[in-house]
Amino acid sequence: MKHIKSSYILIAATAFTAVIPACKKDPSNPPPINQQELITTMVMHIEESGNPSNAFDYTYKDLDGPGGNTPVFDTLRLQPGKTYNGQVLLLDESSSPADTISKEVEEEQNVHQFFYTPSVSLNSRVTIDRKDMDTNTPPLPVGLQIDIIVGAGGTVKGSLNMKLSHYDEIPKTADPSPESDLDIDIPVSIE
Amino acid sequence: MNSFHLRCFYTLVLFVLLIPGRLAAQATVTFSGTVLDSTERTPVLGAEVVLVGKAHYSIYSDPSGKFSLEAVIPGRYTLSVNARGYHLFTEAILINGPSYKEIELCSFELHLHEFTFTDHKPDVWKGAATAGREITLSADMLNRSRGQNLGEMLKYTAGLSTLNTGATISKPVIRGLHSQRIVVMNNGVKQEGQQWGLDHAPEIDPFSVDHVELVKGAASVRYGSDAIAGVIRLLPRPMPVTRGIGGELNVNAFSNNGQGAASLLLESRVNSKWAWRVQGSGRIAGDSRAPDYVLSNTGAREYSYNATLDYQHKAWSSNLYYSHDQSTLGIFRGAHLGNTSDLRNAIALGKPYYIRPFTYHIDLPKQEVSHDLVGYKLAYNWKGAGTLRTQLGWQLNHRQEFDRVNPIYTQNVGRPTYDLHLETRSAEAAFEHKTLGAFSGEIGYSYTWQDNSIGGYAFLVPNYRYLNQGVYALEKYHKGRWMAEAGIRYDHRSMASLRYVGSQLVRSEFVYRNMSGVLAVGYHINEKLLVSLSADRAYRAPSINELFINGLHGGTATYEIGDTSLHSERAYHTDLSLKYKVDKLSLTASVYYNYFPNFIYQQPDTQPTLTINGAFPTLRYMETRARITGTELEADVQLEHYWKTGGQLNIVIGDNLDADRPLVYMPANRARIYLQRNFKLKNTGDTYLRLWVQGVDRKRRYTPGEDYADPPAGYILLDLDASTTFNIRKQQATFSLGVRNMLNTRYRDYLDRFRYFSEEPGISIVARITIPFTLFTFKPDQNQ
Repeated sequence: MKHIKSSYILIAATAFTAVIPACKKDPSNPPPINQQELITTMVMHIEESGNPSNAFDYTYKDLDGPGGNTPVFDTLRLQPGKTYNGQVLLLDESSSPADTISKEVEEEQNVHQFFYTPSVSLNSRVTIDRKDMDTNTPPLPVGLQIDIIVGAGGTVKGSLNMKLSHYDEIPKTADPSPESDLDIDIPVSIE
Repeated sequence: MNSFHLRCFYTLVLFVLLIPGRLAAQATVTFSGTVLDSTERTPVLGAEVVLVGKAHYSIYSDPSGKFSLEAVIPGRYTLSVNARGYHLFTEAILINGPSYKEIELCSFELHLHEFTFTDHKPDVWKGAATAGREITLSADMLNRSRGQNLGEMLKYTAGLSTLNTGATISKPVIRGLHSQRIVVMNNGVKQEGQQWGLDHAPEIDPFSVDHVELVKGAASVRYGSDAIAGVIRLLPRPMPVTRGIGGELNVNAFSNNGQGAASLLLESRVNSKWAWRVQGSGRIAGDSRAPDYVLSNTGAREYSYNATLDYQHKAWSSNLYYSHDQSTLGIFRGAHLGNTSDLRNAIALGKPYYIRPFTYHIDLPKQEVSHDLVGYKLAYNWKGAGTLRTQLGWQLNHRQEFDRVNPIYTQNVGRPTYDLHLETRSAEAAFEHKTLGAFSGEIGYSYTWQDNSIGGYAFLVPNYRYLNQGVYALEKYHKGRWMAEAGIRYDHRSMASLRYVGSQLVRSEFVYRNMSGVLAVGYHINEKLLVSLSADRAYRAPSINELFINGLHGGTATYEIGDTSLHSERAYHTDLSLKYKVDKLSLTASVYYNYFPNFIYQQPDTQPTLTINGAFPTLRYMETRARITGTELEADVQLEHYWKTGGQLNIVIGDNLDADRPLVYMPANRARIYLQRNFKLKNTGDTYLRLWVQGVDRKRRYTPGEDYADPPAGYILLDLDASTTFNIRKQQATFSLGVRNMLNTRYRDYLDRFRYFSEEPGISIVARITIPFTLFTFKPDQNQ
């Protein structure tokens, strides 16, 4: 029996040692983050209608994506009684070179739509017209190109909600879809 | 299923119920005997006596070694007697009248099928600590839900419920807790998947499970980290005892989701030393259906296979097991949303925004998960000293989750969002000393090494590696009416993680040290009534998501943030159980009190997380003092003639003591009752019809406004099961037909994470057949 016991211990010990020493303490290196393509930046190029010299870019940025640092953005300053043309640019600046996601939106225009909703305080003062239409029948707005019409009057502050809806295997309608890819509140000041 | 079919079905059911009980009674006899130790001629308690042949019978010997099987159909049988610490006894016998047999077992050769001992252990074997709160779910009880996932299989047990993610993913909940607070033992190896995820179901082939042993409440001394709320031990069937090759075919079908599933098992006892088994199974299911609409993209495809090689000779016992499970699970399409306002709109809509005709096709979002497990057990029994058991385990869990990607993100299309590889190696050694007077016990060592490496385009948890070592000692005492148990364990875990913070690679180190303990006492007030009281100190090391998660959670539109400074969670668990059993009545009652000095939970932050895609509520992992108390009642009553009834009651109350408010996601209180009618029909064995009524209350204890939607209304569900056994070529086959959610009730469940979006599945008709077969028997040492 003696040799059975010792052979058993030998087998058990061998098996144990086969598992145990394989244990380097460090895990392997993870892949770098920023693997995910996402919208980090919304730039709206704004020009006063008929006065191209009054032009500026409004930006809303969240370079590190959701979480981490909070998004960085200004107030959109508009003047009473004026009409502006806006051109929307969506970028992924986390990759290099930066990726222009708005180009893909344009290509996929039949399943995307921007919505612009002024807050109650701006309601009577600001109207947004989406100028570009998709190729659905009947055509529906896309919203990469807009007109911002500011009514005359005094100083007022509010916000403009801008939302990008994706119609994923559901028909595109005049209403927002259940899947938003961009949803920001832009502070607006008419002064 | 149209209403005409439904009517026909219920008419049939009513008709069957009205059939007079005794159509044909076969003459039966009593087979009784005594099990003795061959050398000392002392009675052997708790030996399992099994008769396999014309029918299947089993019973345990009582403290005087006696057993008595009544109502045995005369015929040829293989008698096998299995007891802890004894050689397996098998013999072919002919029963043609009332007979008595004395069986002598050769002692001290342990037969090990499992690291712990399998089958319906008498209370004395369980020890005082778990005597009152350990239950065994037999194959017969599990058959009812065979072919569904593990959560569904277990949920008809007192103290258990499920946490669901739509119709596809279901996790067991024990006494209000789940995921990383439950240990699942698969074939003796602690299952290591990514169990921290609420939508990560245990990767288990339900067909490979013969019976389940369930410990409710803490059991850290034996199982280490995570055994806070309970332990689920999944056990395969015992290796065959008769020489030859046989097997079993299982087929089932569900009408609700068009599911078809099948399993084929082949096994053989080659000689007294060697036995093997192989099994393969597959399942395909389409979309589930709520009463009013199809739950789109809730299909599933799974296949699994496993193989076992078993060797027993003299003092040696060895068992090698390999299993592979592969599943593709569709995630309910109506839960795919962009942000919080989308979620609010979806809730306000009251039904899914995306409904399509039924299909078997699985689209995005989906999960693809595979799990490989190898377990090797080796035991040696020293005469007069005890038994040494060792075990090695290796597991690889590969989880890929694919979200729906908007085509504007061209680089993400076709890639998994998350891709996690989790490898675990484990080794265990335990020495069980031979019973010394009233004492039995063991000491043990366990070792676990785990490595996680991530891929996929989104960050969920970092790469990590840990090493865990634990030592424990457990001693049991049993004399006369008293039993007692005491145990202690120490664990040490060191972990290192690597992750990028910005472009910086950051290494973090963690060390967790934990003491666990158990003290328990049991007392037989008389032969019928056992009272047991146990106190456990249990723990778990924080899971990787609680430490590190940092990201958006799609389905629930929340932003989750982990905390690397979290400590090990501790639980002080006390349990008082009563077990009462007389001839026709059995009753189990438990009351428990679970106190956590630092319960890890998600605290909503006052500041939402602002992103370019809207603002999301922020949830931070934090510690709080918490208390979970509850009670479970279970009763079975044999009524007049062929009638049987019984029921269960579950109450769980959880409180966050620091915040002085209820804990979220504690199960709603529930009760179930059943009524069963047995039949004796010609040429059939066990035949019955059983009606279940389940009532689930609305979750009443909650903090208004804490969740997007208030808890849903309570509901009542009716289930019906009809089952019969009959002989096919001298083998006993089982056929059963059931109806789930018989009234096609519309309801939502508080513990379904997709209750915001849809109702639960409606009526389903379930058909099952189990056919055991023998391909051939070796010309044996038959004496008849």
